[in-house]
Amino acid sequence: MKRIFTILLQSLLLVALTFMVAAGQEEKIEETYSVWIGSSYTDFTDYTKKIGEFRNGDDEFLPEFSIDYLSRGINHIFSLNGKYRDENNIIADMSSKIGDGFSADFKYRSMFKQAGQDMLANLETREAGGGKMLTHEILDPGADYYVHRKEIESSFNLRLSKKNNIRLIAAHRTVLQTGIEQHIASSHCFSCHLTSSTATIDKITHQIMAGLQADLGKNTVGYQFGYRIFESEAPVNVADFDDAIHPVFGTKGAEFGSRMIYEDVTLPVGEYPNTEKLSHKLTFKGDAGKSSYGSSISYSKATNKNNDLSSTALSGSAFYATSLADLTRLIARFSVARLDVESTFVDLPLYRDGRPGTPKDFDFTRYSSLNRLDLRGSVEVISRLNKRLTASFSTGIRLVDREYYPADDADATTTFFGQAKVRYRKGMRYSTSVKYRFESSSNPFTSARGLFEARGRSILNSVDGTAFVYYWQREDLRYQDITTVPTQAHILDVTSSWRPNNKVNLNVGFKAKYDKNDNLDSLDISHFSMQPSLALNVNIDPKWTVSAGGSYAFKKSRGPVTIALFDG
Amino acid sequence: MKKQARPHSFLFGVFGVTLSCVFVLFTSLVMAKTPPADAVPVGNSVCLDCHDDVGIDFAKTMHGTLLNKVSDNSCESCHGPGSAHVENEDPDMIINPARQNQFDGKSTCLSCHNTDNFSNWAMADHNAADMNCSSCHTIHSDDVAWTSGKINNLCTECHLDVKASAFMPSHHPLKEGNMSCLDCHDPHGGGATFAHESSIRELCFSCHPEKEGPFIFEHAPVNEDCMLCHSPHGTVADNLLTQTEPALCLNCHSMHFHAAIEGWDGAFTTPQAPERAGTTTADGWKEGMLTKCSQCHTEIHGTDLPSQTISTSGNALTR
Amino acid sequence: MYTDTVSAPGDPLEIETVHYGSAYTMADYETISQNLYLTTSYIYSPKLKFHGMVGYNRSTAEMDRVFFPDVSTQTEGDLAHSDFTFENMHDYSNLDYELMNFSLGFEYMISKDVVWTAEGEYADLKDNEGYVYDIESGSMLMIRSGIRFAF
Repeated sequence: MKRIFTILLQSLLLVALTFMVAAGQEEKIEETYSVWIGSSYTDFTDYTKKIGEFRNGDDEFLPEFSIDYLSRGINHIFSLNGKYRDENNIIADMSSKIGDGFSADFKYRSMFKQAGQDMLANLETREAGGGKMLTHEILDPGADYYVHRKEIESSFNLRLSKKNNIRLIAAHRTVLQTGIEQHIASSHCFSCHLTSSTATIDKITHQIMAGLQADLGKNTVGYQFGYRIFESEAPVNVADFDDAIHPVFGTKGAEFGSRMIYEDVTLPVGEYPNTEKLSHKLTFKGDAGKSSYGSSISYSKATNKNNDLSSTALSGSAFYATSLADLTRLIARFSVARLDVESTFVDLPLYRDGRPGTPKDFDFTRYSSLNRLDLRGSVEVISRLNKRLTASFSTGIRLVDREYYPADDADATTTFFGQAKVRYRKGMRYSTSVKYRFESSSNPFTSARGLFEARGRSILNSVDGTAFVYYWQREDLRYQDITTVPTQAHILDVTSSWRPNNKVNLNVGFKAKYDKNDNLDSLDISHFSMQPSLALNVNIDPKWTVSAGGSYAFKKSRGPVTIALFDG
Repeated sequence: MKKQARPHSFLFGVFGVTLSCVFVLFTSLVMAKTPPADAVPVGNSVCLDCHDDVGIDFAKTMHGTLLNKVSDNSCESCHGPGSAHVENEDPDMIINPARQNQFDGKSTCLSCHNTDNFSNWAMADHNAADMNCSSCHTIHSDDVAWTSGKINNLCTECHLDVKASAFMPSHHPLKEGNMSCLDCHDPHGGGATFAHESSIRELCFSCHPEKEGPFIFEHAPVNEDCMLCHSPHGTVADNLLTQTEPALCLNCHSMHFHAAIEGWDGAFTTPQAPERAGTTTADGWKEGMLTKCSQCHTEIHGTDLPSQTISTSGNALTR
Repeated sequence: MYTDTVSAPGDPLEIETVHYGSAYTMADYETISQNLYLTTSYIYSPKLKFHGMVGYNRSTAEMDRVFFPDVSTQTEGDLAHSDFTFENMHDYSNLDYELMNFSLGFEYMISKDVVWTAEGEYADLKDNEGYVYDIESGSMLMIRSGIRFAF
């Protein structure tokens, strides 16, 4: 498959180059090129990984160069821009256009990201007077974690026939990621022990998109096919899992071991699954007088090749924009998506098999929380009230109906929104817009069995045949529907632009959002954010330009902090 | 008792639509500027009599190069026949594409630039905000934003909050020039090239496919919306998280009950493996459990590999 | 009732627990990010242009102190070996960064087709809190120079 993609990429480039050569025969109206050759020196002091997150500098002089080329003729334009900073930082863009029948773009980007090493220093403690212990081990201290990401993207658009303007559209992207990253594995019993090791990164993603488009009168129909594969070619990282025995005395192996899926073994950890995704999309768009409309239907299927599970998405969308009067427009949007993921049976050993009491079966069928119907609709009316004032009102609804959701009464989230916006514009020199939006949700997304339970909510019975009550029994007592996701939100967005003359330009913005969850009277769950911003550009004189600006972003959230009263 | 959501906003929206219908009836008709029906072309030389500075720069541009070679009326190919404008010196008697807006029907630019990139312009947010092609593109002089840096500067001239987010400690590398706004957004109203469906999740997975799964052991918010935990423009916390751990996780989860264990104060070794030694304080379990949840729960986006304990049904996302 | 887990070898592991529910409280979490910048470009002469930039960013993230109510009545005095005071936990993950950066550069036209460019950039990050990567303070100096040839 990789070979196919490489060939495809080369073909795309060949096509682009062939046309460029052909275009080269045409008289050039303009041709310019420039080359910049130089060098840079980068010096880091103290901790380099945060300040130099996206830079890779060595304490030495490194060569750099850049190239710019532009060629224009009656019937063609071709440009090439490239920048080489070092082997890890390269940008290249190439663009070609022949008449209105062919265009091709090619992009290459190489970038670099560093990451720090978590020394796990906080993971070291022992229970006072007891046996529980928490320890850690760094197998590779001083490792230099990084990701080098290289991306090649090409696209072209070729008119096959002037009649009906039949066009072939294709795009391809390959992303290669190499490097090393930190991986932390945790093992229970005989202590909670975490080990940090270095895992190799070697990921490759290939994506292609190909489609056909044709004009039928004032309408355009199209079909698009998409395909993506992701593979990790790095060796699988492994970790050791301890023998499940009493942390102090080394006994009770049978009891502790009976609670574990695996122990005293070396197993793979942190695997990236190989995935494959394909999609089909039909589109239909058109104009009729002052109205525009469009619709699409798409189907996609993503498969995790490691576990052979698939998810499918069948979606449709439509929009209609029209003039209600000379200075009033209506835009209506609608979309629906049906998402499904295959369920899977998780087969586990019996809990405390062979121990006193009745062993418990924790096998379960994993029904995906992604399975749902997602429906959206909105209507917006925009009206020019007078020469300076434009107002718009919009309203809409979103319904998310989840098929398998453990929280009772929370499987369907319905959100209404209403929005009003007013814009005042005085010529080209001054404009201000104020937008207010209100959202109201019922049954927002909830982390079922995530948060706390009240004392004595129900009676816990000990496990059959034993005198024990286990922590997992309490999980069922947790509230099913407490969530910090808001049930109502208020959003205000103000922007203003003032250009008193050709020398001065001032932009001011203010955004604020307040939301809360008012489902529970006893909990005050809310979020508030605001961000004023300002940007000023001044052309003091033809020689001197100054820009200044600033922003203050403030966010505050209030939510519950809970802990089970349990001493297990 | 749980309150039922009342659709305030729906009623608000209905009221708004009604109000705007009322406005429609009373709105004065201000027609878009177009030349009179009997206007005729006058030729570039007449235009340059008054607008020579524009003409000089325009000749060097892509549009100028193309149009000047094939026609002596390149100015009027966009601005319409200019005889009435010349005779009356009236700016309202010529087409000004820079003043065209969503109420003027299809813009001058779209009469030529009608490929799929721009076919969603009718429903684009920028169009609804009364922007037109000239808001971002300069036609009379060459300033086409070919490179990431220029595009990012252009977008952040208006989107000041996004510009500020790029300077936060955790950010996509926009200000470094390694990414551009166009990698996620289409200012003309369309969708991203490689996002197979139109959803936030799909957009994120087009560059981060290893997070998509589907996995055997899932984390429900990943299936819901990436933005429940992440803010893609920039954040103070690492990994574009809206809050640092554990505060983020405590929004939905109780603390690990081991956080309440009294810690050992001093040096210790693990009896079964003496090489695992350390020193700690009475708050050691709190530091261990309440600093960064993903130190143990590493596979937070989902995994196919079960965690160790049977009673969690292997669903603890630690492996 | 709580039985000490560290009993003599051979004793069965017996922990009997009573269902005491959860302790809970509300806590605030705040992030603040302030950003200021100033850029300038100056054409000294047709042959010489300067550009410069100064930027400052201060970003903080902090959680309020967490105070649980007294749980002893809820637990009936049981769970004696547990500690439900979390007044220092907010310190474990607070963040405080300060970033200053400066840049200065020029372009000098040696001839119509040859331009000499040079720029320097200095960035300094101060980490006033430290997280799992310890203190991340550091600085960077970059100097770049070259010649552009136009054809």
